[in-house]
Amino acid sequence: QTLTVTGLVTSKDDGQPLPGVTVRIKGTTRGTQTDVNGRYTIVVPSSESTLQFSFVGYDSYEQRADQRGNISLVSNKRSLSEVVVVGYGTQLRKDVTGSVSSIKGSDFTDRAIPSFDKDLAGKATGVQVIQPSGLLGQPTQIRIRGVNSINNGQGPLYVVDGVPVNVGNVGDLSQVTNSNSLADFNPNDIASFEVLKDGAATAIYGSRASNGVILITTKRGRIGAPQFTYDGYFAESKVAKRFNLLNADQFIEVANERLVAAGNAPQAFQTPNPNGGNYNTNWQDYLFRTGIQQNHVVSSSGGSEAGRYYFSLGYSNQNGIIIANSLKRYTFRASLDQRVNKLISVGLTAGATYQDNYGPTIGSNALSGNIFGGIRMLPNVPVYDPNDPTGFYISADRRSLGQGANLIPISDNIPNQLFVSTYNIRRGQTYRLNGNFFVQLDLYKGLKLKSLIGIDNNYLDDFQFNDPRSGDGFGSNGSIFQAYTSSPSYTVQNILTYNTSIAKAHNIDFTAVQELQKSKRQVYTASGTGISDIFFNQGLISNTVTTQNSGGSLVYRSIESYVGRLNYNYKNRYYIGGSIRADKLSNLPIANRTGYFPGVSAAYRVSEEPFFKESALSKVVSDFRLRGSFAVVGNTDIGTFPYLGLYSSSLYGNQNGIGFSQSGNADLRWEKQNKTDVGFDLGLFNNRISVTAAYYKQDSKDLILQAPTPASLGIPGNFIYQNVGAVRNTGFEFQVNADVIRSKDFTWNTTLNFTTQKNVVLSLVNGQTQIINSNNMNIIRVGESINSLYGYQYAGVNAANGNPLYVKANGQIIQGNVTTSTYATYDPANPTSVATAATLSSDDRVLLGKTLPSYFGGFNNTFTYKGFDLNVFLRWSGGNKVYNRTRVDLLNQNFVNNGTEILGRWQSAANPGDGVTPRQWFGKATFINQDAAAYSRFVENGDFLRMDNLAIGYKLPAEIVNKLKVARVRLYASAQNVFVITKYKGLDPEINNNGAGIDYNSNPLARTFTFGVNVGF
Amino acid sequence: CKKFTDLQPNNQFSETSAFSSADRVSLAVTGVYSAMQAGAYTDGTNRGYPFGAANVCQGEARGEDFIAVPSFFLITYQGDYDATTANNTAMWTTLYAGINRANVVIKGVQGAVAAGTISAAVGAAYEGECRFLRALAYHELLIHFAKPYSDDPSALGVPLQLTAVTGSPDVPAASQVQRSTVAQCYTQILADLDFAETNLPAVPAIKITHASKGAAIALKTRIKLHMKDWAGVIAEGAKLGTGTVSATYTSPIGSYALTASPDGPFASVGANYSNPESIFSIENNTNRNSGTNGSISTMFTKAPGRGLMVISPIIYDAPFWTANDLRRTLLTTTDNRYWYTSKYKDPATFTDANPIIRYAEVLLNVAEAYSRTAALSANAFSLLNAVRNRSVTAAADRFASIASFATANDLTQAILNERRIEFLGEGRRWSDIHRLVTDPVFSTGGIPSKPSSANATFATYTIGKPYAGARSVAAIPYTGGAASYKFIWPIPVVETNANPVLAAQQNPGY
Repeated sequence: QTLTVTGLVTSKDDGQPLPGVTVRIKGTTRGTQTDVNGRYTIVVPSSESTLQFSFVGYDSYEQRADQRGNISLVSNKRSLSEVVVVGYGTQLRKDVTGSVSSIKGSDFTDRAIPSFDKDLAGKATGVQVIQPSGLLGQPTQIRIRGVNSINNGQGPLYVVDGVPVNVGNVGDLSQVTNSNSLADFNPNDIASFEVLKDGAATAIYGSRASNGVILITTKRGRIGAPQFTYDGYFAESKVAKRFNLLNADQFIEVANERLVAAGNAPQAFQTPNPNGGNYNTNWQDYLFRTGIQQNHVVSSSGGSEAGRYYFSLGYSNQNGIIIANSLKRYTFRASLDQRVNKLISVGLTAGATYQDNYGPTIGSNALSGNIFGGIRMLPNVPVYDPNDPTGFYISADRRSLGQGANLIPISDNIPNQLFVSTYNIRRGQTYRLNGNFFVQLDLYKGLKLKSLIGIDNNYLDDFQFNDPRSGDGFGSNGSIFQAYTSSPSYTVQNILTYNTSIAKAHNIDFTAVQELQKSKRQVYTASGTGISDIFFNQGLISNTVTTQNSGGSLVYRSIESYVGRLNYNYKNRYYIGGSIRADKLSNLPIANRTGYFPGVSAAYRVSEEPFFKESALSKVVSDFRLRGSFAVVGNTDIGTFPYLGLYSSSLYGNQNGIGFSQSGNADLRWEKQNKTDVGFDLGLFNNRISVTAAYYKQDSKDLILQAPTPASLGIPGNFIYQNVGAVRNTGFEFQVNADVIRSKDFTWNTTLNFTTQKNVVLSLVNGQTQIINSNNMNIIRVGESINSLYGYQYAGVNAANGNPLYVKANGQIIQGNVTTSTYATYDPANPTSVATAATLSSDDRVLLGKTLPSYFGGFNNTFTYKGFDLNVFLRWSGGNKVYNRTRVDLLNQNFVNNGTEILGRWQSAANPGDGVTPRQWFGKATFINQDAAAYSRFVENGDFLRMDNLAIGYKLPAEIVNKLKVARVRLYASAQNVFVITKYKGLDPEINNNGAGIDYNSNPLARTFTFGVNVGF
Repeated sequence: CKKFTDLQPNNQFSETSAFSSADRVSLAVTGVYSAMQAGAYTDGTNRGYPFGAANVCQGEARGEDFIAVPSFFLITYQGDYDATTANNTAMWTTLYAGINRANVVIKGVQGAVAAGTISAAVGAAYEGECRFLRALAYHELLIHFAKPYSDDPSALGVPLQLTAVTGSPDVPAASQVQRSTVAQCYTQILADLDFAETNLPAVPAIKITHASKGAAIALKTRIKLHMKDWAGVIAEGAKLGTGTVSATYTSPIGSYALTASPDGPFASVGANYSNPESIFSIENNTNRNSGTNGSISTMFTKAPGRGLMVISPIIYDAPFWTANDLRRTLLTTTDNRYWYTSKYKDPATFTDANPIIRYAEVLLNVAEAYSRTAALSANAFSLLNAVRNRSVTAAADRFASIASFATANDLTQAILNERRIEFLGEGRRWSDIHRLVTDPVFSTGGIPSKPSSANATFATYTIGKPYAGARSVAAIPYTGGAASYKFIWPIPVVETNANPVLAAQQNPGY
């Protein structure tokens, strides 16, 4: 007998109802569609009938009509009919001929992260993410397919809702603390990321594409009943790994040993604690903390054919694991899409963000840098002193940490780091308005003209206060600094597109774009010293400081572009496409200002060939396509007016002056890159398994180098911008996505991605074969990976006398005589002799390893069982070396604390220690540990495997949800950075101050536990 | 949209317009002083290299009359430097940045004269300022990176860059410049100073902080002292009024004279810039200074300064420094841990001038030259007393007469002792160690051994009782020791990394 089936179709991803899903009775042509609320009603001939559910972008699903009517569809990212955002438009997945990795916004919403960039690692092939530290507001460094520039921008172009973000609006904008402009985008508002990597995908961005492009698409309303959602979480973070520092007893022993060795009397003594015993302070207990974080987002969306809307409000309040580090963010985002009539439709997107960042003083070599100073704090003195007006333990002369029972104070007057972190203020508030308005005219079948105006305005208020009572503000009797930076930019785009299909075989897609973009960056600064009262510590107030200063700067830049793109395919089988872009950039000389950036691509879908379809293989292989592309792209992130010889203001005391400040080069031209990419896409078992593989080669040439000039020539900065230098990046990318299990109650989806990369410097300026970076640790050498480590080879400790041993370039082993700070030969037969002088000269340096990983990848697994879901995400990276510069500081020979590595020092021939750590000598850290050059002693493997995410979620059953009068409720708990397997001795192999493999007093990373809820109404 | 991308910078001039008006030429000349006041330290910050502060800090840290408290100047103090050390690297790079800035402006000034923008006379005076500063810079390079003239004038000096390097076309020739000999460098310095003397006014528009005729002559007395050209020192000094036996001295050029009290040039920040004794000082100001991590104002000053350069008991306890010397009572201070100089007053905003050359130095330079050339010279005695007796006020502490000295060497020794007291904290100590190191009578033999900051406890400061405590920082003998090569600094690796010509001329031992 007939049966009436009713039900609700929702998306498995977010539980949202899906309107417009086709519901058909299998084997018939009868069917219906779900309504705007995702509900359907259908009359089936019998309970034996089978219903088929199908919807674009989702896996089809079948079930018997007599089973439950409510079903959830699983989205299928690999679905060939999925719409993918590409430059200046969209394409169907199956028609994309370039290398594009797509990441869904929902991949970021279930975890406590300050910004999406912190969580991109391992999500896509070819994308390397470098974490400078665990500070909330510090942006990551993203490298797509290697490092493609030497001195200039190495990060990708970001495009938000079709509008390129000006380079001035990316990265850390604050002068006084970290303030990440990517954190302006609430991860909950992001629908998808597309990472464009190869020439075919990026050529349309021409001069701006050599470092890859990340397209960010924010959420828009969907046709259907109004949706209202709440997403919230609470999270708790802890420092994932801390330093191993000496305790008070160890410090006293070690410090006195080095003092006595240097001819001094012991100076370190136990400081009695009035509450009993002696002080034994682990400063990390105070400098680090449990960070409590919360995040709340509400959104509403809905729409009909005529108009759609989306808006959201977000609030995030995150306290860092590092004291004094916090991030508060308020976001508002709205989009409207309106079809006015058959001809005209309009749309508006607007986002407003306020970020309030507080940070500690950082700086690898700053006395108040929270790690620099923190690891040096003496363990045998207290943190607090109730008798001090500030409550902190401060020396009598108020310059530094109190000295306790020690006879000398801490070296370099390093202030009490808790005092500094508590009373000094480093604050960056940003205000960002980002949005666009467009009018689209549907002129003719397939012919559209879209005109868009976008703005991206950043306003930044920096504030810094140094307390007069001790530390940085003591000498100046308090100092205050405020800076206001406005970075408005606007973009105008006119996009003409035409696509048509002739005889259902010839598919043509044409795009022409005009784009103008102009930006300004203006800074005003004001500062003062000699503050009248610390009450005035929240802003710069007139007449509260005795000395007032002001300053400022102003920079404009503009780029004018014209783009054409034509794609053609024959029956989705043969594809060919090409594009060309002309860019004019204000930062290049007029003669060379216009650059042309062409790209071509082709693809061949073998699986569409009749012979293939008829073969047995087609039963297994549902899609197989070969593709390749070539393009010439460029880099616009080349600084401001690098071609001009400049004179800038140059004060002499109080006297105005101007001075030669930049050497010009009127012949400067575009930095260009040839991108070659070949690969294939393979779909198996009706695309249940998909495989994508690509080989890429990126030859960057005419790189604009800050070509070094000898210091004795006195050229400003000791460089001239020149177009010399070439770098090649090659590698393989491989990604498998599989629905391993897809049963009714249990699903397992897995994604494995793997990337190899090889970087080689092909040529440098004026026939030079190498450039040693100004840090004297990295080298750019022809034939080697960029920014490899370069320095001296260490050979351990002379067991007879505790001197460090080195290997000279000729293989000779020499020793550094700690007593005299000179070098002598080393004779194993007579190891104590230091009679014969030797040198350790700059010619004795060798390559110590490359800093770019040679491989990295991610392995992401999502399991669902009934209402439960489980995510396990592992990622790894390796093949690179890290210079653990922090270790050098932890072995400092001044009157400061050390890491426990010093316990392995050589003490005597009978007690030679670990064979690596030389004898001590007060004040000779520079000679013993060599802090101004790289040594193999501190070069470590950067390989690691990290469990990045472990999350479990549970959807409340319908009965409970209905009682709550909501549509759905999901609860989840997750842990990020669960564990790291590595041999790296520092805090984490991924923290990396400068992107060149040097870990130098970086702040630790967090381990975060998140508890959250998603509610749909 | 033709003009859409035609933008010009707003923060800087294009080099084509830097000398386009008389006012801009004047600004560019001031820019040379700016470069000499401060270039970029190795981390890009302003730490007063070369002449904003660093010449003083390094000049004292290399000697024995100050102790470096860990750790800013410890590497210099202990002789732990190598070619990568930031201090000597920054000294080299900022001095040469200043030298090229001078060369560029000389070229620009000459162009402005040719174009009729400024008169030939004004142009010559501007060029004189640039050449004065260039000479000052070359001499600073020579005392750190080359052997003393007094040892071997034919030894390697430093590369003489004398033409403007503004862009790629200038680089190949300039990169081939080898180290000149020490003698050639001194010849060039004197040529620059002679030009400056000829073309500079006696009284510049901005006194003290701009070069003057008197400053050029005064600097020549110093240069010729290094060359042991005693007659030359006497002749140059005579131009500044030192040729007589007199109780007081006043220069006919620039009216230089000693202030009544030894703290006259240091009495206050204002006094730095307006006193008759300072001949040339580098200006520091709240708008531009070496900051808390570089300035003389903080480094030499007890709290609230950083106080990382403290007076050593070696000089404090020296018997030749009398107890009631006004330079002790007016210009030193203590926190009951160490003794500090109080010549610099402003650790809050770092506005103390850096005293490059004072009239007192001219008097003592000439005094030494007289004492070296005539047995028990009355001129030498008179010049010494002019400086000494304003500070040593008790008759009992003064040298009663020339008969107080048995030999000319005794008088010369007294003059050299006087220099250590008079210029304490002004960075002159290294200059004297360097020039005297091969002197048969007055050599220190190298860099003397000295106490560490922990050796020198407060109890070791005992006036008149020579320091007898431990000297855990070993001496660096000029010759004959394993560490002797460290008497002069290495050419920094940032230079040799990029310059094969100089890499082949590295100082031995490095």
